[in-house]
Amino acid sequence: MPDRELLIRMRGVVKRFGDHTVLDQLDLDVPANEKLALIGPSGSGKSTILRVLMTLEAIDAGIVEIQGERDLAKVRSHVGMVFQQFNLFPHMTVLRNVTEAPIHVLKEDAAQARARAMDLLRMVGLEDRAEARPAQLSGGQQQRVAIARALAMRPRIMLFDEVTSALDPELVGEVLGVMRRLASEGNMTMLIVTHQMDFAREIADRIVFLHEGRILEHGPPSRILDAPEHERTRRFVKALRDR
Amino acid sequence: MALFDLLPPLVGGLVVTVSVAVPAAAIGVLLAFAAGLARATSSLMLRSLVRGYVAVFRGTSALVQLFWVYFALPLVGVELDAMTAAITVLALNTGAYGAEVVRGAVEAVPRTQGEAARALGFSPRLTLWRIVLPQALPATLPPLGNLLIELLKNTALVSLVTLSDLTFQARVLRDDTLRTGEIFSLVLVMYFAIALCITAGVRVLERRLAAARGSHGRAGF
Amino acid sequence: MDEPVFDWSYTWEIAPRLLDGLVVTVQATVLATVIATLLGLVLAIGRRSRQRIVAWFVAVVVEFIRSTPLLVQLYFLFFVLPSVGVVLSPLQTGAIGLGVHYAAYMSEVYRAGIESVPRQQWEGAVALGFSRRRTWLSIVLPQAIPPVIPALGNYVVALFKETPLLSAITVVELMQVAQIEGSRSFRYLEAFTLVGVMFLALSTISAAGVRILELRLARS
Repeated sequence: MPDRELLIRMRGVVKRFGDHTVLDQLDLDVPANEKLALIGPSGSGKSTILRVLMTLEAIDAGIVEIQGERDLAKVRSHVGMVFQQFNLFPHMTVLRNVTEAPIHVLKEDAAQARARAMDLLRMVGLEDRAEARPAQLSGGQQQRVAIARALAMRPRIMLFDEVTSALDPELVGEVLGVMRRLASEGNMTMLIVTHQMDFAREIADRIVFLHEGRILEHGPPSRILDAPEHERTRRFVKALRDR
Repeated sequence: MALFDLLPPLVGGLVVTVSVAVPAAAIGVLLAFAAGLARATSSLMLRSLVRGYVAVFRGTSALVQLFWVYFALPLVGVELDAMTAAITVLALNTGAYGAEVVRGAVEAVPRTQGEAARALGFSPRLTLWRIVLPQALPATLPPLGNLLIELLKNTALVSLVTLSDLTFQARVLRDDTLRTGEIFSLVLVMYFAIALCITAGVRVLERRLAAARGSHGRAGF
Repeated sequence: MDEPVFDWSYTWEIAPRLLDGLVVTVQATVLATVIATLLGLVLAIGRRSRQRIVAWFVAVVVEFIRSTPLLVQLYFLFFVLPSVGVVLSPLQTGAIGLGVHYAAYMSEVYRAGIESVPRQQWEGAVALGFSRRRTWLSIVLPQAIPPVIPALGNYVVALFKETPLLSAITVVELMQVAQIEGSRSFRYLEAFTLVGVMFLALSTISAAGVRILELRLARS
């Protein structure tokens, strides 16, 4: 591992839902600026990792640190998240979806926040839909707004939770394009839960394969996808490829 | 038409009815939101308190509540004049039913909206005011409108605790003139007219709200 | 000696008389429920009349009854019926007023039930050559009514809670007894508290009963 700042550190993390253990003594380190893809069968705990980092779930045991801070609420503003179902605010315009948090949480100047929001909307290719309502947009457009909305908070870490799973196939590309551009800018740490193996290969520095709440293996995309050590990983990758 | 000579005293009663109904409605709606939102908080004590309040006021009728406050409460040292007692009881009554309306509307806002707000760093209070309430509000309007009509109907009860509202004046007028059919028909029509105004007012409010959030905004749910 | 704020021995003394009042309250509730459930159904069917004017008229009447105070409606019946030669006891008058008022509410419940019966059921009945009457009785209502029974039950509970209003037209039900006892002793606290507790207990229990019925229906 290169000598970079360790941004996320998880040690012995346990998360249970009832008597079902979703994260089972999980250890994970993420250095700054890494593009990390999390793959694995459903229920393997990949989304739960993101939700724990976003403080949407409390853990039952273990340690989670972001920038060395264990009280994740304190560093929450450094973390942005994009959801599978977009979760845009339906009662606000696209522009207000993006400016709402900077203005009311970061207390940014409204005009400044709007200008920056327009920049972000331009980046995701939606500056002409700023006054539209979420319901007037396609799924792919909504997801791009959701990305702009998260970026408006200037996070260091972006969490992408199966962001293309709810999209029609022809809309997947536009969202991946935005993520690709974001990754190429370099100074963003990205954790991406995905089933798009080609995209993971292209964008990720490292792929983590999760199985039953543990990391079964991890490494550069070429090794995990082409020459996995474990039979389970091989089967999972093959199944997705054959689909 | 001989009806016109009946009108002046009835209009006097109408003024009393309105001056009971309006403050009771205002306080009642505020209470409904306060109590309805309190049931969504994490404080167990607050939730139980509200639950008890709602159960008591929905479990008895407004008349029983009014008589208890007006006749029984003074015996434990709390003396309210008829007007205050009437407004208090009708507001509490409306608030109890309204609390359930607000609670239902808040619960109908998807939980993922709260998660998205949290991911953007919104505090719980900010989430409530800027994300949850604006989305819950439209769904509360029609049932709250119905509750206001129930409130209007319940104002007639204040005639039984000496307030000279529309119903009270109708009874006085009947005793004076014995023109029973005319008087009570007229009074019923007057109440109906106010109820229609309330319905129309709520409709206007609904349309304004829908317009404010864009014509396609509603499809977003 | 100081009088206690809440006199329990006095409470026990008046309890039997209040129970007599409760009997009248229950009578009024039963009678009004019968009227409300039957008339409510008639109104609901009336709203589906093929005669536009009939349907419209019924709709206006229902809206009118629902939007005006029950107390004034009771006065209307109490004072106007005798003047047109209809002489009824206060209890009968009260039960009719209460029943008609809640019939308006229940008609909306029935209406929802009727509207939830699929159109194809009507068309099927027509195809089989059923008369309109026959269609209502053996096709539509048997499907429309069972699902709405809990909603009707809730209105029966609401109707029960409103019976104290009948005291305003001299029916000696629970509330009236409490008033009489209160004015006799100037102790309203015990009598009215007891009335409140009785209504709270009975309506809470019956509301729970309706809820159980609802769950059972949902399961079957």
